[in-house]
Amino acid sequence: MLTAIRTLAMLPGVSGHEDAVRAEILARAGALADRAYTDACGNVLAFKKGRKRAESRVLLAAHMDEVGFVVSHVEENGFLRFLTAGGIETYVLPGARVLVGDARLPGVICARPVHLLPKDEKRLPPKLSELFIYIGADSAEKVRKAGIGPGDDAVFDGGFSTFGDGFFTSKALDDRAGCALLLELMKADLEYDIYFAFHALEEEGLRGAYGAAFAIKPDIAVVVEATTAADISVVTPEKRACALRRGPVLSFLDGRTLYDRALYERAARIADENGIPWQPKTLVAGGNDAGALQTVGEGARVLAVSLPCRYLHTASCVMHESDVANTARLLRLICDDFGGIKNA
Amino acid sequence: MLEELLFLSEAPAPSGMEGARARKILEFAASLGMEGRADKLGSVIIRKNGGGRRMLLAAPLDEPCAVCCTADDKGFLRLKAIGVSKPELYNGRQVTFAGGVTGVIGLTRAKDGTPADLWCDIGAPDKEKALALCPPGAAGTFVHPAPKLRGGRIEGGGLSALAGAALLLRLIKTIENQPGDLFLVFHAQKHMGHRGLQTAAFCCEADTAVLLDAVPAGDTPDAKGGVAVDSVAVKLSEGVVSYDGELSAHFLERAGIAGVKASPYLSPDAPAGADAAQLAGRGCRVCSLALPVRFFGAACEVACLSAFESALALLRDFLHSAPAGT
Repeated sequence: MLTAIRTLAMLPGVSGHEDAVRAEILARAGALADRAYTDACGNVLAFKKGRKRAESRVLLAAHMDEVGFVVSHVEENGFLRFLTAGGIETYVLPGARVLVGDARLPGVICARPVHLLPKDEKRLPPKLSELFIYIGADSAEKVRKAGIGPGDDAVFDGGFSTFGDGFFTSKALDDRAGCALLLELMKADLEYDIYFAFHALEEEGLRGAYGAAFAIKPDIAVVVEATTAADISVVTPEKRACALRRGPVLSFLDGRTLYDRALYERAARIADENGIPWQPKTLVAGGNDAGALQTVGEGARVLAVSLPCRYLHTASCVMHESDVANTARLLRLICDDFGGIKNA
Repeated sequence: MLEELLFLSEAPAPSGMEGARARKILEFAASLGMEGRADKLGSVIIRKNGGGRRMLLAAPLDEPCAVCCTADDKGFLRLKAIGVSKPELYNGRQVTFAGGVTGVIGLTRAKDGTPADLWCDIGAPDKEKALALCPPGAAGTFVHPAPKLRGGRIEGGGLSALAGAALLLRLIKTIENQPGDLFLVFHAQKHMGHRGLQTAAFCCEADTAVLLDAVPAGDTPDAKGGVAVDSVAVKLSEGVVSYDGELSAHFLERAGIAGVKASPYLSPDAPAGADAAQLAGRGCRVCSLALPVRFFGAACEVACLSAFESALALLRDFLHSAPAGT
């Protein structure tokens, strides 16, 4: 499982530039599902037959895009101005290593040195307009010759590594880990027919999910995500949202969505009955594709099952192997249960 | 109006958990021989067939609520409020959670004095006992005085949340021989961005939608103008949402003919998702009537009975007089 997460997480896939991830997922899903294809939004949609016909149309969804950068302008001196794709706080950017364009040229995000900042600016996050990517080219001409220009994407250069007792870190674990979990589910001999969606453009307004929901028309949609864990010493317990090593996170509410209460309780009961640790998301923040899936067409009942993840939207997301294993177990049980829900 | 308000108040309906109130309304509709159902998001859709034009009349089903997120070591619940635009109005208010757990809400302010976090004292000594009484995700509704009729006005809590539904409920009781197909919708999750309205509107495929709601009255000493409490508000625009000009003008014109007090309502702010009915499916023409409510969102609010009757008269008239082509 970790190998699959690593492979997917290392692929570049900034929102709107998901080609490499899409190709990899389509190849894997094509070999595992009864049908897999891409739609006009760039989503990969798949269908896998189960042993029984499902009573309700159940969709499991993860998103394949990641936060990153898009080159907006090349300065005469070769420095690249950029915009962010998805929500990235600028305080994590100065000094961050990135890979730019199709050639994946290494670069570094530059900012004014802290000792040159006026006192009142030292406490503030840097303005995006004062950050640049430097790829070692000293002129616009050299940048052009390197094949880089406005519209090219850049991703965090956040390599995968394991550390401590079961922890691992990488860029883009949000939500390649979710994609890996879906692919793992596809390998199983499922009880019921299940639809799968690997969404594009989640980080840019959930756009892929709207198209996928319209195409699949699910009765029940389970979003498999990564969510903010703030289980570090400077955060008071009631603000931590969730914690690593405590199992999958079930959301009852986030910044966009009130989740289906009955599905939330049903998933919690399944976990309890099978000895799977789980945790509620205890801070209302963020949002995910459920916000779109819930309201497209006649709507869908939605549930979010997330992997707890520290340092979301940075080059170094952190997860724990035990959470991956427990989430995989819970998702399998959910698939085998939700497909039997009548009149969803 | 009082009868409908009391009927609706009997079943709490925090956003996302409107099932009890939905069942009550469906039972009531069934007793009148009307066919109805709840959709996937919990909105109630009652259909009255007449053939031809498809008209949607919609009012919110839910009410503002506080959701338990967690508890601290001292046993205080940490809350997220839904549908609460002014958290300071809820400081010191009582809240009731499922299972009868009650508590009092407190407010922590940020350094600059702005409201930051809501918490709740349910009398639990520690985190474990607090969460045993009230687990994460439990939703509580705000306790308020029951509506009472005093002269020509109604005083009590929950008027701003329930006025539209009360109006729709009264219409259901008295409706007969309307032209066209009528979809009477009590939509879930108004306070989470009108989510239920969007999916219900898609299901109905209406040509025209009339949204029924409440707005803050503009005739109190602290108000900066607006619609008086004894008048019906005909919404023209809210933020970026523009209501159908012809339909709004029609309401105002018919009010003038009938001698009913109605006033145009414009607001620079739009509640999230106010354009849900316009955007659902192939879209439809949308207009909106609202009852002005004084002390909007406070524990005790005031509404005017004559405005309720006026809105009802305008609605009944609209079913028969709506401009051709709608």
